[in-house]
Amino acid sequence: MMTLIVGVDIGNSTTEACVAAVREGEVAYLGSGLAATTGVKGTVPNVTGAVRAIDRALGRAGRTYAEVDTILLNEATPVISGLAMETITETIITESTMIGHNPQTPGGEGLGVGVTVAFEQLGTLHPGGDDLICVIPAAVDFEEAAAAIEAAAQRGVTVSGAIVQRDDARLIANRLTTPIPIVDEVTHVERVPLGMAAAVEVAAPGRSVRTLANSYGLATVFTLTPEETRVVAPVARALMGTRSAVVVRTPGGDVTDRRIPAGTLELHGERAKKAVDVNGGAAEIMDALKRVQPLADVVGETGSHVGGMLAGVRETMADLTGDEVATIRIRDVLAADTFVPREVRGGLAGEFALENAVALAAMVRTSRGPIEQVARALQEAARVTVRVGGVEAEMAVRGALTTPGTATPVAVLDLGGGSTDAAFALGDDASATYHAAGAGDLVTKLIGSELGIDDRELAEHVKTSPLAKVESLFHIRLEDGTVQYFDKALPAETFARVVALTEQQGMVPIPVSHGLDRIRRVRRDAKRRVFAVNALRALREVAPHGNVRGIDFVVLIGGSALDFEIPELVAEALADFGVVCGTGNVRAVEGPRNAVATGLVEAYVREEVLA
Amino acid sequence: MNGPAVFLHVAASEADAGPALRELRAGLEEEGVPCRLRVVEGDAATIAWIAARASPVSVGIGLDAESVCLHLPQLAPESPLLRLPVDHLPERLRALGHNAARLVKGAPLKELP
Repeated sequence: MMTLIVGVDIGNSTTEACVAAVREGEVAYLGSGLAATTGVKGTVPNVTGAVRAIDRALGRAGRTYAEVDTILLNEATPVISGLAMETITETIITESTMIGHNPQTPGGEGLGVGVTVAFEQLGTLHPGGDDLICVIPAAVDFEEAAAAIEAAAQRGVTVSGAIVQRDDARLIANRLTTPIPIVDEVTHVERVPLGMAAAVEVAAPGRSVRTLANSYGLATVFTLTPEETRVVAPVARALMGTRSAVVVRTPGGDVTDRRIPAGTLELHGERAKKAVDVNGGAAEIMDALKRVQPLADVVGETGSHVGGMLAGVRETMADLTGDEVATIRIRDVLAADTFVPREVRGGLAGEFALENAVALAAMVRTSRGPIEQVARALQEAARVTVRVGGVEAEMAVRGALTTPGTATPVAVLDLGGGSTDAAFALGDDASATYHAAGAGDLVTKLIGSELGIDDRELAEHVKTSPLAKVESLFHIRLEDGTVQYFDKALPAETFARVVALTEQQGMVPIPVSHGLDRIRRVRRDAKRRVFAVNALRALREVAPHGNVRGIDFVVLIGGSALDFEIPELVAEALADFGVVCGTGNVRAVEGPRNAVATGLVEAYVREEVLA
Repeated sequence: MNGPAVFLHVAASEADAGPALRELRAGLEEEGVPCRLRVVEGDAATIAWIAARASPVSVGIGLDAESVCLHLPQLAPESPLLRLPVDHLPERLRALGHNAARLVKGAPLKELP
């Protein structure tokens, strides 16, 4: 007798199904389908997504619901994850003392020192006074500006530099008998304090400012005492590497570079307890975590940044699951050091400073989801008997083992969106499992914050697609150096930009000023900091005696295993342990997808044979 | 007279298209890219295309009574890369000058204000 069964796996972000015909212990897989998970995993709204996935699988198999004997549903692991990020340093410029931005086209060259003066005042000044730095608002045309500076020079009034609002620096400099250094595109030119000592420096093409980026250069220009020099040292540091800069010396003006007290994180292990200062960075947090494992809960110091951060995670989780906030326990955390470009407070030209930050992914164990309720609802919707079968991790192992070339002892690493899950099997059944916080979503978040991309979809594109530089409107250079030509002109907004070569939307320009190499490095580092770190962490937790060498095969499954480089980065991290590591190919056709759904069918068949 | 330059062709009737011309050339100058001016006859798109074909850096601008076009030799003569009405905001004409220069320099284009 032939029976038709459907395996359904409801995951955090996707729901997968497969249809199989079983006859006397022989299985023939007829089709599979995939749909986005609807609602939080393990709750009744999942039914919509499950039905969609089953529809697709049945469609491919050419079967109908009426022919299905049983639907098998996995017992979903009741863990969900949350993310938070907190900056731990902050740069503040008080009284607007510096402009360290990089306009594309500054004018003139060299260093100009003088007293700031409004453009309108220039005509009224008499010779014999201080040298001047002229502040020119957008309303002034470049010819008018140049003529006024020339006229002043004729009268014996020296203008030694200028700060300009419009993109006019070269136009003005080109019209002067003796060109002066000019910094332009200063958005908030009206905030430049007048009547103050100031210096404008423009470096030669390909060079960066020397005097203003040097503490003693500043001390020389402004005749500072050793005490005052100490105060301006952060200014010099902030200007390093820029081609042009302005520093205005205001009494009491100051740039501070302070560490925000982020608070302490208390890690409650089942046996030990440890408090760790978040300012110490990710390495210290992860080290402390290793010592208190297994983790029972994590709390942040009340009233501190990290306290607020973890409270936020807890609240989101409580909202999602309907559990009480007080009952939410954080069972794993992954900390990653990162940096965030932030607009400098008090800056005049929208300058950015890179602030240090710590990103935290937290894994929350929820009260066991009422999977029977989901099963009943699905049974009503599909009018087919639904059976809840097997633990997710065990099913994943079984499904992964349908990959050609695998055998036990095997570890399955499920690289997902919210968590990295490991299961280890010596024989047929999983003997150990671990759910590590942090996966694809954290990678997206790190990429977004480090590149200053607010748009989540764009950050997702950067994560999942190779990069290219649009070198002309008719050709691009890919990140591996190869060149691709086009017959039709590419969109003008992609010109000279780095683009993500996405599968669905084609070329998506990345509107940041970083070069291709920098973006690529940020992308790969983010993946390494999450997946390479988590793969090792999770494998250590499930391997016999915590020794990764005791595992022969590591099979990567899950959505992030489809990524074009994550499997490679994980394999690289495991290279020293003598394990075979590769992306799974479930039933030799599915790639890293459908492992749990397939495992459900495999387990069902084995039971039937035994019975 | 054979150095790199963006060619700027102006239809004869508009030889005195002073204000627009000033902005276009200012944009190019600010970017540090030379331009060469010629007075010719024809509509903006066509003369821009001819200018682009003649330019050693393959970028041309055409200006007639109605509009200004930015062109590349690889494009069809009737469909320039950018087209703006002449009586438009001076800032936009300036930005078009910037963009002509940036095409030569390989720098990302300015958004037209």
